[in-house]
Amino acid sequence: MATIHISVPAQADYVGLVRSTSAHVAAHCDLTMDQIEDLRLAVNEAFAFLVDATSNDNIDITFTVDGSELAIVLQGPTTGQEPDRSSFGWTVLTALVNEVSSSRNDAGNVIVHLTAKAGVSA
Amino acid sequence: MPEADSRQHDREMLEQLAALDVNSPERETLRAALIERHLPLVHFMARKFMDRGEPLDDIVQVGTIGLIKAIDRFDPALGFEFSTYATPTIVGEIKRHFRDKTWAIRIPRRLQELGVQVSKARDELTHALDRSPTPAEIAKKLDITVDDVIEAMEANTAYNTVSLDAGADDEGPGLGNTLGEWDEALDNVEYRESLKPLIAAMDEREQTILLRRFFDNKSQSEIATELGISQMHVSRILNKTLTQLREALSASD
Repeated sequence: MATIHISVPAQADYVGLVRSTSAHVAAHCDLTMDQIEDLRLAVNEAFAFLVDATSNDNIDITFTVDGSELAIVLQGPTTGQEPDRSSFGWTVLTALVNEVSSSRNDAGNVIVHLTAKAGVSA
Repeated sequence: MPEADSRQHDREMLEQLAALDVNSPERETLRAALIERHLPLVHFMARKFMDRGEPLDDIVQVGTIGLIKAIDRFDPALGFEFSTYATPTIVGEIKRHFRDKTWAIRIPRRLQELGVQVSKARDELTHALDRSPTPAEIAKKLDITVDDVIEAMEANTAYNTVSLDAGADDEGPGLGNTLGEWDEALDNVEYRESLKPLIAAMDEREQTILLRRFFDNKSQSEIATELGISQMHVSRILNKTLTQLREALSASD
């Protein structure tokens, strides 16, 4: 099992960095090219939910590679809103990865979890 | 001919065109005349894209394809002015040309070539395996490293990202620029609209791809095969449409 952490300002400018990192990590996880493309889009959407131009907080992203499964946890600023389940972005997310959920931790940070599994289409 | 008369003439020609049988020789002549009449409009629109490093003739040519599409698709029964309908179609075709045919940033030659090889290997392996290949499988086929595969993938996408931004403003294609526009839209309450009109405003191909991907749950490769375009192209279009939708929707949050 490998764990990778990155932390970037909660600004839209950093979405490219997060997307690229996701693709690199995913490549070491036996995901197919299609799944990796989907994952990039999913990370893009999840990151967009957490971006807060007014916040000085960072978005912390944790990638956990466990065999053929890649879990990505994005922890956003405390000022954020939990993603709206009826929104277009959320529908896109659920179509792109195997599992997706969101929650708020005790400190009040909004957290989005994504999981992609090799050999299982979303 | 005064402008009003000219418009009236256009209208009559377009109504005639709509009434004629698709195979009639008369239709061909009328269609050609209509195309010729509107070439100045194409030239006018093309000149707006002149400073982007593409030969004007090329821009006029793709713009003309847009015009022809507009003439073929125009329905006079709907009561719109033809020029209102044709302008976005022409501009759309020109923008597509810039998106598809020109590199907005200089990708090192090595990466460009690698990108082509990776795309090709990806298509071949998709057929051979009957599923999308993993980067490791592509790396093995091309005798390169997995990192190279990902790097090539990134390079192919970089082209897309930047050219999208360049569409917003040809002088400073930074992400910041796009965000600036986004902020303006935030103030714009009239953007409070549901997805429907946004999707309706997309071109047919974009709609088809969204539909296939998110409603029929097809993979990018499957969509590419169905539409006879490359997977990379599908990926670009998806990226673009999702970005557009997200930005338009963020404005209504």
